[in-house]
Amino acid sequence: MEKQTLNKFFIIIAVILLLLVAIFSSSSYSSNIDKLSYAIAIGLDVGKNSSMQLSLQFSSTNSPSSGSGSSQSSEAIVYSVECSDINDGINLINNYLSKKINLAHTRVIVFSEEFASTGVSDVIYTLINSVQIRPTASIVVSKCEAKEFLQSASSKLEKLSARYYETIQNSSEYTGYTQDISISQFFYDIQNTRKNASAILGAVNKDASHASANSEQESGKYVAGQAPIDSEDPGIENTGLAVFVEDKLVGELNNIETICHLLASNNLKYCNITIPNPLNVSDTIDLRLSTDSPVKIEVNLVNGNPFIKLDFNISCQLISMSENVNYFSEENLKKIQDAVNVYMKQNMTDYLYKTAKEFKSDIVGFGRTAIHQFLTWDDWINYNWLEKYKNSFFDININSELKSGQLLIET
Amino acid sequence: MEIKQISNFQAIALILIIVTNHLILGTPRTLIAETGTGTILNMIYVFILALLLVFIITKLFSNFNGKDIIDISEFLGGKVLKVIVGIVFIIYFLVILSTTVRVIVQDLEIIYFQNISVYVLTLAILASIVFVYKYGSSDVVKCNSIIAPIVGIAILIIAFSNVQDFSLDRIFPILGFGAKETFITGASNIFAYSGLAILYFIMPMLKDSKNFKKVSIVSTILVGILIVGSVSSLVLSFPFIENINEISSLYVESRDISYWQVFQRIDGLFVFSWILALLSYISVVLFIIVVIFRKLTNAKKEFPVVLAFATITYVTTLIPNNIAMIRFLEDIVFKYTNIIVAIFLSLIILIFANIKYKIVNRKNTIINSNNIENKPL
Repeated sequence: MEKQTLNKFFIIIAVILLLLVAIFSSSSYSSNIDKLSYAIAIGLDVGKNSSMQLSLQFSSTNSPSSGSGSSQSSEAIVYSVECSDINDGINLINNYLSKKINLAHTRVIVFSEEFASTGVSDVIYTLINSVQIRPTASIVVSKCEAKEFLQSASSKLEKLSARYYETIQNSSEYTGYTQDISISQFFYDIQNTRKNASAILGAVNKDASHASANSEQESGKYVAGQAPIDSEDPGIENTGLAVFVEDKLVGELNNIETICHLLASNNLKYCNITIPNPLNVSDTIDLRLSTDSPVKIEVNLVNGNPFIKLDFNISCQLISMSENVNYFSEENLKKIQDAVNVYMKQNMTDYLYKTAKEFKSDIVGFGRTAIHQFLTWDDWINYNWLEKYKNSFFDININSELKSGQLLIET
Repeated sequence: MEIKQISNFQAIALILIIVTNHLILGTPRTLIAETGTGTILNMIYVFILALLLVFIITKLFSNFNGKDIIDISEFLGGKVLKVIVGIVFIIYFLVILSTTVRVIVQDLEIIYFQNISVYVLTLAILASIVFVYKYGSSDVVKCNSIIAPIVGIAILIIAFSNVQDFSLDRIFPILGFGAKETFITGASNIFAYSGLAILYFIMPMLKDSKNFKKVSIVSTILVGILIVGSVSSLVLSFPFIENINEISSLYVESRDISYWQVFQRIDGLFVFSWILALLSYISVVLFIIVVIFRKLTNAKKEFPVVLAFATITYVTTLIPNNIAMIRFLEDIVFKYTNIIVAIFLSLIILIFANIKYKIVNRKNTIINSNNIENKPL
């Protein structure tokens, strides 16, 4: 009897304790979904009167579209505020909205070029320090204002802003024109001693940005916003990569350079390229590229400077076809393969020397191979790879193999 | 209630729960901070050291069948040494218990319970353990044998879920901070195996004390797999960066896990398993403390002892009032207490006890042979 009474006593104590936890937990009130606002994108610009202008894009939880979750509404709203730091800005918008801002569904963090060139480490450290932010959130450097980027982030084809951000990142897998860079990857890269950081390059594609096109675009080279797309619905476009040294933006890569970057860093799934037709100088042919095997990278230190040897094995599929031509004769195959080799070698050389001499930024991460030659961490740090990278010289070997066409073999 | 019916599996689970909690606590981070990119090499080396050490311990215990370290201390230095060693071990277990509870509760507060005070969280956790002890320590051991494997498997899932991000390049420079740091000072990373300290107390509880060697070796191998697995996945997944100090490194790793588009942000599942692990850990450590205390005092009832030590744990857990103090406890106190008490002190006691055993045995043999010689024919 006495034991039973004691047991009851302890059960009562346990229940009281549980109740106390529930009562003292103010989160039971403030974490209610009706009291939360989910930011799906964060934008950061240089402020006019303060150090930054924070923009948050929300999807309205009050009018969800049918079949969509709470963070996937068709109505996206952007709020901006001038503030001294990101938490200060969130507090100000929190206060204005009277809803608690939650960053658990944030998919994209956008920096304007101007902001990124002043250094983003403080913001990145603050965001990575937050429990709410997903490590997979993408980092974009926008050629226009981040606020404008967020306001334009929707399309007639995909009304749901959150899903729109997902789809535009996926496009890099079949175009090779950009690379999805997550905040956790960016965070580690800005402190990494083996490689420098890069981010997605984005812009709003509009007539004004087309006008800034230069002669390079005749050969199909574009950065974000420059592709001459005529649309009644100007949307955002992610093309190219933003290149960083430590946490500061130092340059940008166009679409073809990005393909070279993906090839060199073993991240290319497949992409389409257009090269001059070796069988008809006035014409071009289109090929779909993928890699047969990972690029072989060899880094040697010659007189203290890096000598980097790259060996690529590229697989090609011919996707264009012309009248009265047999691309797959022995002779023509070789001509096309040679043309691909020359085209890719030229672009790869330009790309690699641009990163080394112009940007002084090892975004491929050759340091990961170079480090094999060092036995201890101190030796590696004393060598200062990221500083030495600017003295690199390259030997590039491209072996392409034209494997097939598509439905037509000969016309 | 006396426990004399622990199976081999339950005994191994007691050791595993200690190690899994230390891994959740942030042991991998401390290990990597010590040896940098050479951590995997160091871990393999430390694993071999740990196996050797455990082999030596089992050899040293072989002369004391069915005894634990407290009994052996009594044999070596009488009641005085027994009490001293007992108190040292109680303090040791209280220190690692308080440190682990505080760090994990602090991490839980940061991750999920930002609006609940550490005082309330710790009280809720310790009160639940005291409540569980109403049903006796044998249930604690049984319950732990279910939780420990689950948590161990969860840790291995975390370790290998990011396999697509593994890069062998991250183990270079292979010697990390240098050969000396990897193999000489890095040997101090053996503190990660401190869960094996349970071995000093487990022999009298085993159903068959002959299985002690088997239990010891199997637990060391399992602990080694957990430690090497979790540390390797951290080294291979993330670039080594000297100046980054995160909360539980396993949690940071679990945040990156996603299975296809469907299962994202599943770190909550792992955190839930860690809460279970923490509860089981506290009950197991309290169980060992109670076993030692009752040996020293001959206390009859178990529950009041549990209640007293739970209260002491609660108070000591709340002593650190800032993160710097918690980090000091985690990185210095926790590490060196483990090395000093769990390895050196125990080994010294065992070695001297074995010497005394041999001397006593030799004397007995001489006396016996003298007796035989002096016997009238």
